[in-house]
Amino acid sequence: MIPSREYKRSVVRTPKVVPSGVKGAMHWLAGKVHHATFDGKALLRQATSIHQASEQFRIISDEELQQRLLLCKEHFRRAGRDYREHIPAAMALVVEASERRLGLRPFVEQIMGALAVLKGALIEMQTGEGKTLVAALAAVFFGWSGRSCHVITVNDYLANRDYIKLEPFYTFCGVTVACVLSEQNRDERRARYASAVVYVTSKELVADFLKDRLLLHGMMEPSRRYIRAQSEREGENCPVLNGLWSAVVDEADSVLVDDAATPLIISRPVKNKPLMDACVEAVRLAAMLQRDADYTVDERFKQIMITPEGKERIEGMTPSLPSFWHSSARRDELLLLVLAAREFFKRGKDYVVSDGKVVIIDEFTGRLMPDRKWRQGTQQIVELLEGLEMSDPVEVAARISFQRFFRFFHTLSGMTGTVKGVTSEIWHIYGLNYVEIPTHRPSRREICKPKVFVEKGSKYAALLSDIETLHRAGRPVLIGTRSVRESEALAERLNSRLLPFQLLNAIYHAEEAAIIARAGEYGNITIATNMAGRGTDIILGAGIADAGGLHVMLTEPNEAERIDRQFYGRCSRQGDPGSVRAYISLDDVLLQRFFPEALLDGLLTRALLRRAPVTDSIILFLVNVAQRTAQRMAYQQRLSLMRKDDEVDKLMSFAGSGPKF
Amino acid sequence: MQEATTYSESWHLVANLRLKLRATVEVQRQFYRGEKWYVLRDPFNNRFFRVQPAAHDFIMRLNAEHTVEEVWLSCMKDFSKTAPGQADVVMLLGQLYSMNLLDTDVSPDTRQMLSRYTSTRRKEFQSQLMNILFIRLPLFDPEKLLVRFSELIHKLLSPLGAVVWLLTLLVAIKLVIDNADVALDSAQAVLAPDNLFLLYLGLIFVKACHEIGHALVCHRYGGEVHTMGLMFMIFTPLPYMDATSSWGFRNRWHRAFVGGAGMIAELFVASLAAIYWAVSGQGALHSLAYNIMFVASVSTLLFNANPLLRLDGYYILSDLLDIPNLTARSNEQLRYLLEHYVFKHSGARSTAKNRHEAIELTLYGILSAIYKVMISLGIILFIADKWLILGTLLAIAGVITGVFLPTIRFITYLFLDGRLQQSRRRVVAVSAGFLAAFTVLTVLLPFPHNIYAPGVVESFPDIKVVNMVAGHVEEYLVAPGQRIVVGQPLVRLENKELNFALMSAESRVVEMKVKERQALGKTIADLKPVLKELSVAEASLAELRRNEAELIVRARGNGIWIPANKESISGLWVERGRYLGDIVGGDRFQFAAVVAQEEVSELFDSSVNSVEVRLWGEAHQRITTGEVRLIPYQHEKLPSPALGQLGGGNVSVQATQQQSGDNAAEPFFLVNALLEKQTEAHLLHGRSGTIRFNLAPEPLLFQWYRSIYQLFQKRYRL
Repeated sequence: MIPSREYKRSVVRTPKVVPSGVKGAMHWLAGKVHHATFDGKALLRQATSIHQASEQFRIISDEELQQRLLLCKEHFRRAGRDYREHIPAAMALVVEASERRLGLRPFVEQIMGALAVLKGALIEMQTGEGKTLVAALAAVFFGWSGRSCHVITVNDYLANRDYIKLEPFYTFCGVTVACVLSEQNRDERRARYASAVVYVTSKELVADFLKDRLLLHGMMEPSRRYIRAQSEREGENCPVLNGLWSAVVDEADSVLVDDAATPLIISRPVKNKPLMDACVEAVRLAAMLQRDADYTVDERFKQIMITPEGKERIEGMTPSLPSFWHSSARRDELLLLVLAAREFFKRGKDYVVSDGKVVIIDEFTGRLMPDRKWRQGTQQIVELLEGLEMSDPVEVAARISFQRFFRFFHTLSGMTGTVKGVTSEIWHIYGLNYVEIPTHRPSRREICKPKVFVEKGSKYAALLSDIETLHRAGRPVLIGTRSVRESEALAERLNSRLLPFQLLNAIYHAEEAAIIARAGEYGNITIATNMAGRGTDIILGAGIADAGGLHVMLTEPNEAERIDRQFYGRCSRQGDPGSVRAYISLDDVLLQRFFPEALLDGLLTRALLRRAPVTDSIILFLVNVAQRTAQRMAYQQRLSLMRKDDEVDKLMSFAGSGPKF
Repeated sequence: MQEATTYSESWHLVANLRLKLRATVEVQRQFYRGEKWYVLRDPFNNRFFRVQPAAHDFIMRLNAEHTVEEVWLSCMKDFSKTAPGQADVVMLLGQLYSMNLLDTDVSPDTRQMLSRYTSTRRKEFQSQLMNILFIRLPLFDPEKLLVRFSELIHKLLSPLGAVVWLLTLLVAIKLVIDNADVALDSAQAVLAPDNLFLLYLGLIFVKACHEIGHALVCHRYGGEVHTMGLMFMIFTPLPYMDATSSWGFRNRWHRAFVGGAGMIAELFVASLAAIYWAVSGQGALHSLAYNIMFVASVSTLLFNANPLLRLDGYYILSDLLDIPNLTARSNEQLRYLLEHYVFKHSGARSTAKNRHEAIELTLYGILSAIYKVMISLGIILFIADKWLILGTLLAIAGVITGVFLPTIRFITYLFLDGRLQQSRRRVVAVSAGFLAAFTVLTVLLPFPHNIYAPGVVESFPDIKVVNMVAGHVEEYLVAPGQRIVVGQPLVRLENKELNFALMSAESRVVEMKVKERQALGKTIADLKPVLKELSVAEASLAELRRNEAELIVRARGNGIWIPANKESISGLWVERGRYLGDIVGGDRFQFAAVVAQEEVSELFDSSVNSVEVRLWGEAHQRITTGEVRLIPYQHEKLPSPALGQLGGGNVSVQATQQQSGDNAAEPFFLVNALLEKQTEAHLLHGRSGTIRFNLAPEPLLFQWYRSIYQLFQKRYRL
């Protein structure tokens, strides 16, 4: 056991508190200055010269190239002093290695991206510009440093695909590489995490991180952990991770921003008889309470208010509850839980019952989440209401949100198709500057004017006729929907029109990647949710480019313009032609959420029906406002979550040092 | 969904810890409002933490053998009804730990501890900076001294001591009442510059006694006093000491006694000083005694005893009401009222335990808020009067901390606070409605805008009787109030000098006539100059004759004679042109009003809608006016002394001019308004009243802006 290696296994950078108030404003300003003074041109020049320099290595033999690469590696071990000076020379070699082993010679832009990633930045690269290779170029250097490098991918399929594709390249450069997939067990994982570069999804990484922490029983301090590890036998108790040092996050906006607030929870079932007894009794009692008479329901805010009559009735019921629940606050809490479960949790929408078990449906993706459980009480109450056998309540063993987790890395960098709207947040929370990487070839994407409709019915009708026209013209069409349910509804309509199509729901990544790769072929119709088939190139079939390329249709505006644009990015990759169009109706969720019905159903509907001149522009403007507002609200929410975590850290300082999760 | 407290998401962080209360922590039982509480005290830093019995039961069970979860479960089993929920436990442990009351088996987070320490230090420093006017400088620990004199202190603070105190106080009050006139007279001179030093000496002495009083009583009931030092109040060093250990007293009367001890000591000192002052003669000690008496009584009554300031009175009230953190609680109560009644926020919870407390908190919150605004305005104006720049700086600081920041905080609370999330629509609607109403009321809706001016009723036409020649008043020929006709003699004057001049002029004429004859006879050549001289002499004689005739002052019109001075002025010398009286009797009256300079421009500029006059004593009678004339130059002499301050009016007059009292301190403009013929009101010459100029209605905001601007202009000549 090498002490230093063992030490770094659990070393975690302690992130600074997210600045707020005056400090926050200063930090924000610093970010602006940082970005303004960042010289993108210089980076591009450097990349160009590296690109030229790499040409001279075309003639050397594989052995010599490898030898030179291994020589370089020494400079980068443990990110030694002045290692940055060696980057250009080494990069030229790595570029050549890529050509030899992958058959891909990185473009100047890709080299520039890799240089930016090495500095620890968020880079914006249009979809289809080869981000995978950029990550690999940079990861080689991180790998050479001898400290763990994690390349975060969106799903297992991509992790595995990239690993297999890039493995020869890494090996040639003298870097061990592995991928961690959900089906692997801990021993396998430990072996794989030991590699210099690891391809893994954020979910797997965070889960492993939390499990490690649980094993260590609060021995978070690396040196202390090391000492304890000395006295214990190696085995199950050994952490699988190899420390957190650097990470390259693909689709950084979705990982670091959109999903950043979702906590990853490691839970364990516990026997909690008192709670279960109480649930049984509460469900029995709550059955006697009547809606509107004993309590009122606020659907908008998902809130239940107990009326005075209801209160009286509950008072009378109290004695039959276990005595722990007699205090009025606790009793009301329990009964409200039952009522909430009864009023707000709908079978088929929020959960399904299969094999005598309640399975939660993800609110946003519409997918079944067999591993997910509602928090203590709710799950049991829903099971009781469904007349099923109660399962043991699960207890949180550890939890952490993604945004907190990614702040633990020493060097964090990200790649994304579009940074618009997230730059300030990325700077604020992760301290990452952003760098825009120019496209290799000018984009030939044509953005058509969005079509605006009064309601979904007319929107779908127009959508279908457009699809049909394009289909007959032989152009491939990719249709983006916001949710699984919607994509299924659309599929049904296409079915009834006897149009052949492919439906992707981001469940079977490997198959879907294959499907979406073919989405560019003659006359193909593909329906996909935003997440489906990400990271896969859509290659145009023969002659499609002349017909205008792939046409992307967005059935509904997303919560962020960024996400819309990402979907647009599915077409016209690397200078291919392509066109996009969005379809907006006044009853879209986004508009409904932010604007009063009076405006949408009254004024705008009338204006739209009478074809008043600027209505379209007004609606597009409203969509924009709604998207901005949604983003800002989400940002505030993430920020407040962050602050709350910091608060908990502060409050819990007696529970040992370091962040608490 | 409502926040759940029984099961906490953070429970896993504490569940497996083994914690216990630190061995040194002292626990006491206390009753607040008849409710049982436990007070945990850390003797090292004298900090207190109050917990409810249920939490106390839990804390007491914490030990190093069992995990928090086990303890919680056992609590749940034994006190199922009252046991705290998981969230409560997590919160409680965090608080206990942050107060350094917990022992843990894991090594604590030293980084957090340090950062907590530095942030506390920084906050203290910042609050000192913010409170630059109230800097504290701890100097020494008086505990040892107190312990040494413990016996003495116990003897002092006994029923006997109380009797002595009361007797002294009574004697002093009697003496002061006996010498009330002298005492009040001297009070005028207290703030005179040459007295300031003595005043300050008195202040230091009294405040030292005050603080020692706190310390003694605190010690008497078992408290410890560890800090005594200097506080720089507006850069004036004053003593202070820290008696916070009294907060741990079980008996709230003891706590209140500690709070009141300062004032009791001060009153005692004031009494002694008063007795000395009463029996001693003039001298430095005499003045010092007076100053001590003054400071001790005034500061006690105005400041220390006043519960609206956070001084002794506040803590006494807080102890007596049994509501600790009165200010914070009352603010919370106000916020609750706002959230519950205005925003209809269902989640709003009152912190008040019962109706009684709710009323107390609400009242206190409102009163103290008003008082705070008033006292800060008063202090700022007071300082600005003395030093304009410092006052301006203070005012700016005051506006930032007192208006700007709270407004921003309030706005963020209204629109960004998560608590109000679900009532946001209502919040927005209510605030928008309020703003709109405010705007409409103050900016858009014109409000009546009036100018009031004092004045007197004068007869119209009003003939002022003036003597054209100086002279001694010989007699009034007509009794006051008599009807007279044109040419009727009113006053007879006598002017000996005039008589002599007349005589000499007559002789001169005679002389010249003789000279004329001579010239005619002898020297014809001299005739011309002599004739000339003669004509001059005759002219002057004629002039003097006319003047002599003027010695009888005659009426120039019909009417009733009203002499200017009530008492006879016969024998007095009156200069030419002296106002002797009026002949009133015209059938009309006019109102002569005194309009201040700052208001006159408005009168000039804007159109006057209507004018009405009300007379003192007949306020219910509205008298309408006809033509209103503004006399367009400044006056300094009031139309009647009755308008001046000396005459009971409210126009300030020059104090130097004795007797007359009709020289206004500031020039003014005169407005004459002809009064309509009246039946109800009794229009009498010389009656005073006020005139109201009804200007064109104007929104309130403009009116306020102008008044504030004028206030500044007047006070600071901006």
